[in-house]
Amino acid sequence: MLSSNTKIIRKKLPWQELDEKIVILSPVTRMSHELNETSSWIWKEIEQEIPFEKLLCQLIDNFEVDGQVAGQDLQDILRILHDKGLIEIND
Amino acid sequence: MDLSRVKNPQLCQKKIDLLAKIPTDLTFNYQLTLDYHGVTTTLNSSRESILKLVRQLVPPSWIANRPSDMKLELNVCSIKDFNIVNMDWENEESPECLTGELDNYEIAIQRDFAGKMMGNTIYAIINEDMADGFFNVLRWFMPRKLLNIKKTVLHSSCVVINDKASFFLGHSGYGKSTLTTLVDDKLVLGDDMNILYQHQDSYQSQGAALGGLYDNKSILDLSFPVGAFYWLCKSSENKVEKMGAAQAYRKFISSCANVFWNETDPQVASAMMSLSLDVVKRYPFYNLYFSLNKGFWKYVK
Repeated sequence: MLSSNTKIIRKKLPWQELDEKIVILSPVTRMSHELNETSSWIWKEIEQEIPFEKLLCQLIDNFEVDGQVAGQDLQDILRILHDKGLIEIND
Repeated sequence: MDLSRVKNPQLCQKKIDLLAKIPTDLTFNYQLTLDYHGVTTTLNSSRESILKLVRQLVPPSWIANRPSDMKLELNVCSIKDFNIVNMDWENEESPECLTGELDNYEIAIQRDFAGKMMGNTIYAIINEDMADGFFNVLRWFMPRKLLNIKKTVLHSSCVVINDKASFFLGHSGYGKSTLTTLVDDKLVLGDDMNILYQHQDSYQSQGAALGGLYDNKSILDLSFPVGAFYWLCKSSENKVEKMGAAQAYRKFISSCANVFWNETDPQVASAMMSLSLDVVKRYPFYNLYFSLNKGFWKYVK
């Protein structure tokens, strides 16, 4: 469970945007990752460190979605990105 | 270097120890200059027999000292210089190429060669009685050097159809080589490694001369404009479907052979990414569902 003040930032990895999708190259694992529309949007928003709460507000504004559902979805996405070694989550 | 990844770590360590001895313990008196896809490669060797091997592997027109933006010094010696026989040299089950560092050199150890590189100077130990070791030395370092002159080596099969080259990419075991046995009268540029490079306003393809069944000298001098790229998928039926740009980019970049972009100069990684993006924007990419028979050709444009 991420708290409101948990800081999120993407790692400095080579990436490319193609047809509104982000492709990230992960040097450590020698893998590439293709993000969907929502994850691609998040990737762009977390270039600088940002609190979870602020990121969630921006997500709700941008996609006009229900706050509770968006909160859970955002946590799930961030966990996946973190598990793949693409972002840092600092409590 | 993680020696636990090989079955014979003692042999691997022995190869590392031998690398430490060159060039001090050897002289490289025999010389040949090659134009290797635009990379001027001065080959110095400890034995005439090594030059003889190389002359057999490349077209005569490549043995030339042409002006270029990329110059290499490749110093090759033989296992015989160290009184080693091939049975001992290749006494390793794993085909993996281990890389690491030794005295500020990048080193590579594989079953049939040992090599070290600093900048554009390379030293290698091979058995010159077999071509595989020499080719594997080239496979280790040459793709990265070629990127500096905007050429990339694709792990692929390449077949000429209507005067245009179709690249067939895919995981090992998905049919790249098999496909080249089903070509009838079509020209195969290579069944394993092929070069892609920009020429004026388009991209050209050429056999890589880095090993493989089709690396014969008459084909290596030929180049063709690129037509399309196909990613091979195992299937019970033949069909194609267009690929999205993001997927195409991932497939292309995963097919760039031996770039080691995770361990190398960020500029090289950047060059590979921009080249990949340019290629994906210019050419169609397809998933080709391939059932290992000739029926797939009607889907290849």
